[in-house]
Amino acid sequence: MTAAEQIISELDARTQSLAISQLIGELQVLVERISFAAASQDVRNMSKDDVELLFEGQLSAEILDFVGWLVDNKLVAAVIGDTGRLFLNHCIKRYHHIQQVHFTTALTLPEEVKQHIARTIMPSYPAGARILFEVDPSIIAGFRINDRSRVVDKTMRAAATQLTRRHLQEVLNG
Amino acid sequence: MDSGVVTVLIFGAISLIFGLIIYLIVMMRRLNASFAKLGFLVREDAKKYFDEAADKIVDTNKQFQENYVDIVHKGTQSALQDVSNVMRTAVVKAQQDAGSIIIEARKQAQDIIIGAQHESAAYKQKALEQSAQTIEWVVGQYIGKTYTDQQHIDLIRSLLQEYINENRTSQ
Repeated sequence: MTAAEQIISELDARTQSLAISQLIGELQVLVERISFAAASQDVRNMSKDDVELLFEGQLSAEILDFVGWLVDNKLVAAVIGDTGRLFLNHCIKRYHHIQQVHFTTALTLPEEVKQHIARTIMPSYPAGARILFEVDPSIIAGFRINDRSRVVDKTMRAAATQLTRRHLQEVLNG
Repeated sequence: MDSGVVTVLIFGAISLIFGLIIYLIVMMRRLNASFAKLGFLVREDAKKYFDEAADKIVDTNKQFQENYVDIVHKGTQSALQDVSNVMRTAVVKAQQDAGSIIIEARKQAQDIIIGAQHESAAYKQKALEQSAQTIEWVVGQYIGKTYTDQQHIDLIRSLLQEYINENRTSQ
């Protein structure tokens, strides 16, 4: 695996929960800010504290974790200057075609449950997909999958509504 | 002059005077009679005139009455004809109005039926939605109070497996 492939793999692994638009937006901030900082300081050897200070809450924990991995592995140069712009262009092209799957539940799921769900669903998307876990208490229980091409509604709210309608239709029709 | 002549002359003069007086009296009487007669004639003429006038009044009245009757008759005929025309027009208009009213009534009835059907459908739909919302709320309250996080996760796992199985079957 080349360094570039390793960087993309780590980025994928650490940012699975981010929407594509958020991921691209934060990568753009990362490349611009760290390139600007590189003009006045040696960013290749900066610490994690320096990273957090540099971005001051501008990036999500997932992207900050990815930057920390770059720092730890001395790969910060990959996101500076022209190399950084090439990296950004590559990410834009790569993630542009990846399907986003919204998996909605009534409560926040533990990480191992999310991984189990991702492993179970991913075979349905051979071209690759990014699963975004969302919370909506109004669904009561169960889950809803929305990948823009279809919606799978396995929520308690939908079931209650469906059963109620069927029951009332039977009552009204005598 | 001779006294006899004078006497004769005086006598003659006196006789002439008496003769004149008598003539005058006669003439006066005749004149009076003439006046009386003239008065009679005048009175008669007046009477005749007034009689004619009275007759004329009677005639006029009679003619007026005849004319009046004629006017009334013709007027009545005309009025009846007008009434007939008005009635005919009114009847025709009434028929037209009745037709329009019937058409309008039918349309309104149809609108009412359609409206009632829509209202019924809307009411039924509303009742369904309200009932569904109520049951959703009850289920939500029940699940919210009784379900533990683990039960939620177990349900998700179970439903996820159900979805995968359905997906495999459909493919």
